[in-house]
Amino acid sequence: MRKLRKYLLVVKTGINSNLIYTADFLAGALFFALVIFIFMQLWEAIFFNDGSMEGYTVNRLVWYYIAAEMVILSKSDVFRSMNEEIKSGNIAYKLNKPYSFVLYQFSEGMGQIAVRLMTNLPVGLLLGFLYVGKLEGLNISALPAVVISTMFGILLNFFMDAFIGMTSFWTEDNSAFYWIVQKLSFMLGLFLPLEFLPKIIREIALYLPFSYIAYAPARLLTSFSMEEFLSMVPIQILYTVLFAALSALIYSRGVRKLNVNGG
Amino acid sequence: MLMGDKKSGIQAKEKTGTRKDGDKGGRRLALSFLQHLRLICLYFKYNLLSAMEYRVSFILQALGMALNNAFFLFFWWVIFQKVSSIGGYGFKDVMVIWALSSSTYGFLHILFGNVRELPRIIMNGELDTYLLQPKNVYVNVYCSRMIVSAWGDLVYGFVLILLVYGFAPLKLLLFILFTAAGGLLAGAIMSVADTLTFYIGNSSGISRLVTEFLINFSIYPDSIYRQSVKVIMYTLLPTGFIVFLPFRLLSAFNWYGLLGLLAIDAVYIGISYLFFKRGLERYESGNLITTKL
Repeated sequence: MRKLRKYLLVVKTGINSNLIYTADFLAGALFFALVIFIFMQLWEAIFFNDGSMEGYTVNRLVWYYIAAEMVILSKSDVFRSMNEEIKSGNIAYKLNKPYSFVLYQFSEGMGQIAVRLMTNLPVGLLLGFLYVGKLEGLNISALPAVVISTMFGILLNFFMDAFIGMTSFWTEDNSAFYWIVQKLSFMLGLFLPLEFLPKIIREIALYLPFSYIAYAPARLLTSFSMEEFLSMVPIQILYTVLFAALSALIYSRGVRKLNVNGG
Repeated sequence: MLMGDKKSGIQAKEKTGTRKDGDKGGRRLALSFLQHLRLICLYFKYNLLSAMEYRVSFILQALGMALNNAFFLFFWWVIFQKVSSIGGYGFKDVMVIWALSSSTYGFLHILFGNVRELPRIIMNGELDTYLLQPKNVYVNVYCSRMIVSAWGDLVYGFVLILLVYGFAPLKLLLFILFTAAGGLLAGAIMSVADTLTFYIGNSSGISRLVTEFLINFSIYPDSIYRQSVKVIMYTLLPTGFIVFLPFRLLSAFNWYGLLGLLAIDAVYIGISYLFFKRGLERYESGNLITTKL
């Protein structure tokens, strides 16, 4: 219980420190609004406000994109933070503290995510309602399933970022890995629903972790079915646990070979 | 008559004097331009040599960035499998605007890697080092750093343009010109956002937003936007002059368009420089002693 309280305090600190930097906070919300605005314009230009594609109308595509982008943009800076801690050697100061480095990063990240979600959610809802109105065929009873899937999407994204961040124990520069993984999650579910992709790519994507970050919650919001919920959420949980375990493993291996010079 | 001769003689002398002064001023300006061009080249050379010290990291970052951009090619390919045109833009047209955006921002961050870093430099008091050097601060501060991954952006743009047009020397020359001019214009706009730090304190948030707006407005066809957004794209955030007018000139060249574009670029760069110069007068050093390696 005491341990839990310790990490809850870090979550609280994470929330407070993110709320203090108002400019960053507002910049994040404005960027979220910008990308949604651009995609709204893009879909409208493609559809001319008429017709549908792969079962998606402009209304559903816009709401799909808002849900998917909310998961992606409500991520924490864990990749950058771990990278900096390891490369600068600052990690050395944290190793002798009475907490786990990974759990500390996790708790701080959760604080950051909470603030970003609190900002992005109203911005996304407002833009969606103003531009295309309420989501067509919204199933209110599906919302708890969407919330669960969003939560695991965010957690999966967090542990994948943490995992790549900790490769800096071995590599001089790991930003290329980060960009590639990030773009894979963009292409396999953020910019376009998987239904838009060629069949072979769609089938491969369903075996990979990337689509379970943004595609799963956005798909459940716009086309909920219990069958899809039961097929996607267990895989989300599986991949989240896998990447959490991999993060713990890479940390325990990496920290053993850590060599910090200077003081 | 005599008086008149004398007067015209004095006037002639004055004119000659003014012309001489003008010549001197012009020569000094040309010399200063060449000196700063040399400074940019030297910074480029040493930044590149320093990046090449970590060759594997250099290649990884550049390739990673090129691959990162290539993912968007996939996105557009999927879209154009479903529709033949978006607001008059076909797949090849979108590739050209991607080539222009990618190379333009690549060029900017290779030569002027400190763009967007100025607020941090000012806030940390690191500007003092540049003030002590006998070179123009505006040029000196921006070109003293190179972003290695930007090489991936630059090369990616060239690969795309070669794929779209094939080896067409004239188009390639124009592309190089637009890359350089667009890069300088984008840098000038980002610099205005950076320079706000002199006036209102840390403007890194604004600077980041301006960059995001510039980049995001550059990589989707401008025809998807309404008139009000297009007004912004040709004034406040001139992506129209960075990417879309160059794209139109590449498709259908005309001299008036080219000269007009270069003149507009020069005006924006001039305003950005003057804004920086006035802002610099407000700078107060924190007397922090730093070293610039």
